[in-house]
Amino acid sequence: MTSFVLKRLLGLVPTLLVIVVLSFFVIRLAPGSPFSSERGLPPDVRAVLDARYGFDRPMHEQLLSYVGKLLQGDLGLSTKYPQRTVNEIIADGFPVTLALGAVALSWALLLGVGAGIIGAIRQNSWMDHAAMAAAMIGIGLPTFVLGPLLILGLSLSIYLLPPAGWGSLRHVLLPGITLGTAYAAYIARLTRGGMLEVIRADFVRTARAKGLSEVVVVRRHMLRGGLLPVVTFMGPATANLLVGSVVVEKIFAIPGIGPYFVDAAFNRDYFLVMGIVVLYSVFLLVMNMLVDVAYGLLDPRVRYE
Amino acid sequence: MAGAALRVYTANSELVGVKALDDHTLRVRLETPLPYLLDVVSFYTAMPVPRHVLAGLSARGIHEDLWTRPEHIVSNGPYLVTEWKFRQRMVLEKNPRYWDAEHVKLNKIRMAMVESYNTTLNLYEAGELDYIGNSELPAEFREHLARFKDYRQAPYMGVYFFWLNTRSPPLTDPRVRRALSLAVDRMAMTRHVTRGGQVPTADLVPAGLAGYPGQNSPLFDPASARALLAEAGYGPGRPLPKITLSFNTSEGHEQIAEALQAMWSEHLGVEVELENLEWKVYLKKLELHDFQMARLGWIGDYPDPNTFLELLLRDNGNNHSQWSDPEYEDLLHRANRTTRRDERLRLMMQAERLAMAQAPLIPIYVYSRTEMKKPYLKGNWMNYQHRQMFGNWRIDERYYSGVPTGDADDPVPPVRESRPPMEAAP
Repeated sequence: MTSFVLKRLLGLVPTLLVIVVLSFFVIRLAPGSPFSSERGLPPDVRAVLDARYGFDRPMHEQLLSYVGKLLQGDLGLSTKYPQRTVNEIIADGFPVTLALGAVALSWALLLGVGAGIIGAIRQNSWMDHAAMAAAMIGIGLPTFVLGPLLILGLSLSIYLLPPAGWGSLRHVLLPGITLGTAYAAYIARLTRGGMLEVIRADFVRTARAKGLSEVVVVRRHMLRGGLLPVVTFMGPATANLLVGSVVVEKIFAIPGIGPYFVDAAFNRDYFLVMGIVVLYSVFLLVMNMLVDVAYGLLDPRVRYE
Repeated sequence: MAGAALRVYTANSELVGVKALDDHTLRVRLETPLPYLLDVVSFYTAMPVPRHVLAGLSARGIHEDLWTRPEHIVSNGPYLVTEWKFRQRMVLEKNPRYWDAEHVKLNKIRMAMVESYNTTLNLYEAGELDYIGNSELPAEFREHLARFKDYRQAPYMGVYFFWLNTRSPPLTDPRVRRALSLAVDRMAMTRHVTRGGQVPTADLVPAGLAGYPGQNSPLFDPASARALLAEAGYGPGRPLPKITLSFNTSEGHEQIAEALQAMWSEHLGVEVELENLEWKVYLKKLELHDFQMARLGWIGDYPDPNTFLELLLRDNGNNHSQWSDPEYEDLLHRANRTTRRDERLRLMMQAERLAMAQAPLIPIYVYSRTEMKKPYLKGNWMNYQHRQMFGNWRIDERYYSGVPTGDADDPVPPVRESRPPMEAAP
C-alpha cells in the first residue's frame, strides 16, 4: 500500500508539469492584456508594468522563471491586486472554500447516505419513493434557485440565520446546505443502488443465516459494499466543490477561492490563473489517489502491489 | 524587447513647478490658468505617496506595493483604515489627529465588500447594512424600491455614449453620423429601457456643470435624420451598408444595444449588427480602432466641462473616434488660457458645438446613482461626483429608543467656493 501511494505521489510531478506548461501558453493566447482598462495607459507606463511582471521577456524565459519560482513555492504576483501575492490570495481563499466544502459534504453524506439506506432497506415502499423523489428534486434544483429560496425562508422572513457573510458557524449553514443538497441527492441514489446490489449477495445471506440482527448485518456487512460507489463519487465530487462553489460564494458573499476561477481569467491575471490551475490540479490528483486507496481498504477483493 | 530603454520620470521642483515651501505650504506654478486646480489636486491620482514608507519597506525586503496596507499606509482624512480583510471588509476608525476631529461624530465605520447587488440588498434588508452607497441596486427591483423612504436617486457626473469610428465607412461622412445620432429616441431609452432616472442627453458635456449652460440639443428628430441621410446620398434605392455596434458583455449594455438596433431600423431603415465582446477583448478592439460603433462611459475627473471636452483632443489616448479638428484644439486651448469666466464658457460652448456638428460620438444619457440609506444615518448627501464625505456622517440618536415621528434636521452645509476668483466681464 505504501509503495502504491508513493508511486502515485511521484507520478503527480510530471502530470503537474505538463499541466503548468500547457496552461501557461493557453492563457496567453487569449487576446487582451492584464493592464488594459477603460482609461488606457500611456505606452511607457505600460512598459514599466510589463517589465515588473516580466512580460517583456521572451516566452521560454518567462516559463522557466515561473517554473523555477513554482518549485520554491512562490506563485508570483497578481496584476489585478498589486498589494497581494498569489500565495496570499490563495492562502486566504482556499481554506474558506475548503470549510464551505466540508460543511456541504457533511450535509450531503448525512442526508444522502441516510436516505439511500432507507430507500434500499425499505425498497419500493412509500419511504423509498419519497426519498428518491426528493433526490430528483435536489439534483434538478440549481444552487442559484435553492440559495435564494433558503435565504428568503430562513433569513429574510424570519431572521434565523444571516443572509450572507462569513466568520461564524451561523454563516456557514445556509451556503453549506445550498451547496451540499445536489450532492446529497446523487449520494442518496448511489448509496441505494450500491446497497441493493449487495443486499442479495451470498455473504449477506450467510450473515443473516448466522442469526445476526438486521442492524448488525447492515452496518458490518452491507455498508462497505453499499458505500463503494459513493466513495468513487467522492473523488471528483470534492474536487468539483471547489469549482461549483462559485455561485454559492457569490450569493452568500463568501471570501473563498471560487470567484477567482472566472474573474482571474477575465482580468488576464496570468499568475493568479496559473496559481489556481496548479492548486486545482494538485487537489484533484490527490483526491483521486485517496479514492483509490479508500477503495482498496473497503473492498477486500481489490489488491494493490 | 530586451534592450529597449525605459523612460523613467523623476521630478524635481526645477522641472515641475511644484514645491513644498514648508510643512504646511505647497506652491504650484501654472503655465495656464486652471480654474479647477483644487479639484484636480484632491483627485486620488494626485495624492502624495509616502516615499519614506516605501523606502522603509524596501529596506526590510518587503514588497513596495504593500504600502497601502493598514499597517503601512499614511493618510490624513477623518478616518484611518484599521482593518482590511481582503474582499471581505474594511474598518475605518476615527482619526484623532484630523484637523477637524471635533466635528467627526462616528467612531467606527465598517464597509462590507460584496460582489452581488442582490446579496447587498439582502444584507440591507436583514439589517446588517445601514447604507448601500458604493454599489448599485439590482435593476429589476428599482421600481419597487423607489416606493420606500430609504431610496434615493441623483445624477452622477458621467456620460454614456457610443464612439463612432470616423475612419470606417460609411461613418466617414459626418451627415451619416449626425443622422444616426438624431434617430435615437433618448427619452424612450431612459424611460423604458434603462429606467434608472438617467437624464437623456445628446450633448457631451452635461448641462449645468460648473455653470456651463449646455447645448440642450434636440433629443430625438427622426425627420431631420432621414433628411441628412438623403443628403448624404442614401435612401430606399441605396440603403446604408450594415454597421456593427460593439459592446462589452453585460445585460444592461445588451438591452441598450438592442433598443438602438430597433430604433435605427425603424426610423432610418439601417441594419445594425450587434457584437457582444468580453471586456478585455473589447478593450483590445477599441485600442486597435477595430470597431465601427462602440460604447463607453466617461466619468469626469473634476467638476468642469473640460474633463469631457478634452476627450476629443487629438493626442488624447482615450479618443477612439480618430476625429480631430485644429479649430477645436484652438478653441479649447484659448478657453483654458483665459481668466475671464464668461469668455471661457463661451469658448467651450463654441468648441462643443463645432465638435458635435461632426458627431464623433453619440451621447445617450447622463448617469444616475441609486442608493438605499437608513433614515437614522444623517450627514450623508448625494453629490455629483459621488464622493463619500465620511467626516460629516452621524447617527440620529432618537432612533435608539424607537422610530421617531418627525424627521430630524439634516441641512446640507453651505457650499464653499473651491475656485479662485476669476475676473468678471467688463
